[in-house]
Amino acid sequence: MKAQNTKSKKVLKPVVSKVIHQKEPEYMVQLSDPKSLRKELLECLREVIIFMQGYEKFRKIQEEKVSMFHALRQEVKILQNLIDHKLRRSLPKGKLHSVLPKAAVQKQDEMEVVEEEVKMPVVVEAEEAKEETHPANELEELESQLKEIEEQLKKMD
Amino acid sequence: MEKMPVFVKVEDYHEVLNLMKTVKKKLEDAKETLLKINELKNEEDHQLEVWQNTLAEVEKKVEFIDQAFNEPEHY
Repeated sequence: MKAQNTKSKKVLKPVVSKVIHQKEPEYMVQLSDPKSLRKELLECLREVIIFMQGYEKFRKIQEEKVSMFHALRQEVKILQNLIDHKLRRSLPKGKLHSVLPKAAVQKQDEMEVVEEEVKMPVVVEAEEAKEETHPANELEELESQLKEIEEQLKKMD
Repeated sequence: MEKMPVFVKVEDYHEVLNLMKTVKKKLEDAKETLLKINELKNEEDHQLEVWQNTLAEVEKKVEFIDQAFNEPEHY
């Protein structure tokens, strides 16, 4: 009985599994010439940073260029104003027609037409027509001026 | 037409002379601005060239690194 008791007193301990999860071995690859590799990598990084710095420089140059374009445009506009308005006024007109943008000529014609139809109820329509004859943009106006000048030059030849 | 004389009033003449001075000055200014634009354009071109060279350098180095990765020792 005793033996049985002693046997029964033996508490069965849970079997602790001694299986340790072993890490899989980390395999390494030996790279040849590591010093050069590191050096190349760092140099590569340096070149990229220099590239980015160049981008900032390039952006600044472009901004400066745009402002210069604006300045040049203003200067040429002033020149045009000086030559077209002030200088031409001081010189005798001669027999040549004055250079007027086509839109302005059309406007003048319309004004004359409107004057002829004095106090007619169609005045509102005439004003609308005038608005339509405005040059679409400055470029068109310049083009018409250029054509006019070329025609005058042809006449001079 | 070429032989026809052109007369300008004396008071206008002086004005025209002054005007011509202003026009010349403005022309000089415009020329100077254009010169600056040209300089900026050259700087831009130079910068583009530098970029091209830098990219070529980076490409070379990346190729070297790639080669080092693809051909390890005792693999």
